[in-house]
Amino acid sequence: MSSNQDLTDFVGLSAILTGFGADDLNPQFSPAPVAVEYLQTLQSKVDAALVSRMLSTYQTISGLPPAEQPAAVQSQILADPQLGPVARNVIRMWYLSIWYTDYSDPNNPVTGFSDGTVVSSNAYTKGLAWDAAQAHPMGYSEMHYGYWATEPPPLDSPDDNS
Amino acid sequence: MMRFSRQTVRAIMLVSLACVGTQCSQAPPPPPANTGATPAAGAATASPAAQGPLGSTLPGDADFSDNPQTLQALQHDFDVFSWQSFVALNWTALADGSADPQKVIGADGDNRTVWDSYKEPYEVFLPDGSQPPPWGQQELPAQCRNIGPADGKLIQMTQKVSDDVLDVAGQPFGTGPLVDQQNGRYVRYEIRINRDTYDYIVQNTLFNKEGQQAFTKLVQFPSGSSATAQNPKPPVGALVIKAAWKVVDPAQGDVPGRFHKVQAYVYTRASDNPPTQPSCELKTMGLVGFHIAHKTASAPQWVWSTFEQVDNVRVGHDAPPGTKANFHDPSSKYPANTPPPRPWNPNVVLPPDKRSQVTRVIPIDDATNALNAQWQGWLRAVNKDSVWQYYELVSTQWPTQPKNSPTGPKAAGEPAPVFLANATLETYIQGKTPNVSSSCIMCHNNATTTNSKFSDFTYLLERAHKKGGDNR
Repeated sequence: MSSNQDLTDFVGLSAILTGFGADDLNPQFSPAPVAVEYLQTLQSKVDAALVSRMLSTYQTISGLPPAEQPAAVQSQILADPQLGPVARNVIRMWYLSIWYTDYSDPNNPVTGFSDGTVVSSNAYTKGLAWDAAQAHPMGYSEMHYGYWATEPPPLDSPDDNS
Repeated sequence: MMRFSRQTVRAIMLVSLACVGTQCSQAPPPPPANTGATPAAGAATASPAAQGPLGSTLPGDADFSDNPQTLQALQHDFDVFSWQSFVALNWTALADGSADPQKVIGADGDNRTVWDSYKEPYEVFLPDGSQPPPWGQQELPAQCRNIGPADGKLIQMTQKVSDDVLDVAGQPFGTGPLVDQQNGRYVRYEIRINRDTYDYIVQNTLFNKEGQQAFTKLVQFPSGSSATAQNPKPPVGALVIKAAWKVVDPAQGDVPGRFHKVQAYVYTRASDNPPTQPSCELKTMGLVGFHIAHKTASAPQWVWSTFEQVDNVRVGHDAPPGTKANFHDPSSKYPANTPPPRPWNPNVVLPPDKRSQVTRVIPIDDATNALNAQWQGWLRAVNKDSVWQYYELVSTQWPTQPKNSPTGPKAAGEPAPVFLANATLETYIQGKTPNVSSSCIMCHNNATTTNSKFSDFTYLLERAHKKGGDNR
C-alpha cells in the first residue's frame, strides 16, 4: 500500500525525471490518477528496499532549492548503479505506459525491452509520449475529428496538462 | 384516473398507487447546504420545509460554493445540479410549456412536464433543409394523423441513435434495441432540445447543409451560468434531453403508479431490412431513462446527467408485491446485456426467452444513492403517490479539466466519472474499456457537422439536409 508521502515523493521525482509538472502528472481532480497506478506498479515490481531508498533520496533532494534539484537527481539517483536503471524505467513507464523489466532482483541488469507490460488500459491512454508529440495512441483519441488538418496548439499552452 | 383535455399537448394517464412500506410515513431528510434551486411557492400536501429544495428554476450551472474543492465534493455538487435539473425539467407545465408556479412537481401524482414542449430534431432539420417552423408547432407523420390528439407526443426511435444518423454514420452505434421483459416490445427513444439550442441553430442557419458549410466559426452553443446579484436571470444555456420509454400495461404486470406516463404515438418507419411497414399506434408509455446534457460556464464539455426508473434492472424501493423489473428477469437464461437476435423489427413482439436481460455493470456509488434517497424523500413529501419518487440518478459526468483546449490532445477535459452508462440508453456498451465503453463526453467529443467540423458535443447537426432535399 502506497502512503501519501510515497506518492508525493514519487510524483515529485517523476516531475524531474520526465520534465512534466507535478500537477500535470497527478492532477488534483483526476478521476483515474495514473500516478497511483505507476507507484503501485513500481512497488510491486522492484525490491521494496530499493524503492524506499530511491524515494527517501528524492525526499532529501526535495529540500534543496528547485534549481538545484535536477542536478541532484542526476548525481544521486540516475548515476547510482542500482537506482539509475529503476529511475530510467520509471521514465519509460511515464512516457510509454509500459513497465519493461522485472526489478525484483536488483542484481538483474536491464537486458532489453522484451518483457514489457502495459500497466493498465487507463495508463495506455495517458502515455506522456503522446502529449509530447501532440498525438494519440492507437484506438484512443480525444482530438476532434479533422485535427490533422489544423495547426496544433503551442506546446507551452497553459492547458492540456502538458 | 385523471385525463388532461384533448387540447393539451398530451394526455397523461394517472393511476394512484397505495404507498407500501414504511418510508412514506417517514419525514424526509433536511436539504443539503447547496441545494440551489428556488423552492416552489405552492405546496400540495406537505410543508415547504418537507419538500426541501424542490424548485421550478432550471439551474444554469452547478453551485460550488459550499464544499471543499475535492473530486468527491465536486461530484456531489454536480449530482445536486442533476437533481435540480431533473425536478425543474419535469415540473408541472402550463399549456405554453412554462413551469406552473402554482403546482409543485408530482402534486397530482403525475404531470405534464416542461421539457415536453422542447423541440425534437425532426422538427428542426427538415427534409428539404428549409427554416424550421417557430417554437411550438408539430407536424405528425401521415400514419399518426386522425388516431388521437393532433398535438400528441411522437416517439419513433428504436435505438438511441436514429435511422437518420445511422444512414450517415454507417451505424457505428447500432448496438441493438432494448426489449421490455413484461411485454416483449421495443423501448422507444426521443431527443428534445431547449429554446437556447434551437435559437442558436436557427440564428446561425445550422439547420441545413449549406448553412453549415457557410458557417466558418467554431460551433459553440451558448452556456448556462449561475445567477448572481449583477445577473439575476442568466441564460439557461444549451440543453439536450434524451428519453427512453416503455409501453406500460397493467395487464402485463406493470405498476403504472411507478412511472411518469404519456399517451404517445409510437411510430415505426418503413424499412427494407427487415421488411417493415410504417405503422403508428397510440400507447401509454412510461419513462424509464432520462439523459440531460447541459452546456454550462463551468463545463464547456457539457454536464451529463442520467436518470433511470428505479425498477429497470432490479425491483426498486417501496414496490408492491409482484412488481417485476422492467429489463431483468432472474429466471431468464438469455445472456446478460446482449442485444436480441436479428432481424430487429420493432413491430414484432419477442417471446420471453428473447427479451433483454440487463444488469448494471458499474453500480451507482454510495454517495449518489444517499442523495437519491434524499431527493426521493422530498418528492414523496409532496404527494405519497408522486411518480417522480421512483426515479434515481445513476451519476453525473463532468470535465475535471474544463479549460483544456478544444483543439488540443485532451479536449475531452478528463471526464469524471470516467465511464457512465444508462441501462436503457447505453445498454450494450457498459463497461470500463477506454473509447469502447460508454462515456458521454468521450463519445460526443467526436460529434461533427455535415461538413466534418466539430459540432460542440452534439450529433444533432449531422441531421441537416440540403436545401430542397438531399436528392436534389
